[in-house]
Amino acid sequence: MSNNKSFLIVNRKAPFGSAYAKEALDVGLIAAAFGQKLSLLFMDDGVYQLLKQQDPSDINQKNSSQTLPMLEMYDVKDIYVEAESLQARNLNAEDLLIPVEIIDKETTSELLEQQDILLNF
Amino acid sequence: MILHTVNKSPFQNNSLDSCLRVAHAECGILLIEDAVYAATEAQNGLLTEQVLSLHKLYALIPDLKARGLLERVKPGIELVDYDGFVALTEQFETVQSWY
Repeated sequence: MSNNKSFLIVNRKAPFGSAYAKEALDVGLIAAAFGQKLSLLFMDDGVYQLLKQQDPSDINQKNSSQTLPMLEMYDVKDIYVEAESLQARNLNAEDLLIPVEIIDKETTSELLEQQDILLNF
Repeated sequence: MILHTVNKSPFQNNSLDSCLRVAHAECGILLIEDAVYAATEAQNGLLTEQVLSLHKLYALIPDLKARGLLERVKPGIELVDYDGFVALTEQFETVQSWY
């Protein structure tokens, strides 16, 4: 596979109710470790993955949200959140664990169009 | 009387919507797993003041805590721990799971 393809991981599921969020983060960190051109998009219930103060110790699950700041260490800086998904859930940038770029649905559409490879979780 | 449990986000499917459509006023409705997102303030939220005055709503604390929602719960929803969950299943005659 050519090394210069662009990847976008589309996160649309809430954390903990399924393994999607954790799997997506694992894939993201692996892709980043291999130096791929990687962006992340959070929309729909996926925005809940970014909420502050998550603590799943009482439901015996790993706190994947603590791994989110590692994305920056791996030089993954293109992290997007769809504005409409945040608004529908009464959330804003201050509720989120990491700095993100909040984009409207038209920009989200463009972001999807620009990618070589889309990975959906 | 029935204890209704709901475990899906209200944005994910219509489990909570269906539950509210058929639940008797005296029934208990317990939000667990991803359904606890319904206990927070959201646009077009299903748990309106009218719904909260009609039904007794509960939400499971460990699931709220996991998702960072403990300080975001709407007033009028009673928080229960695992022991409280068990007590509810004893208090009501049957349990109906919406998933």
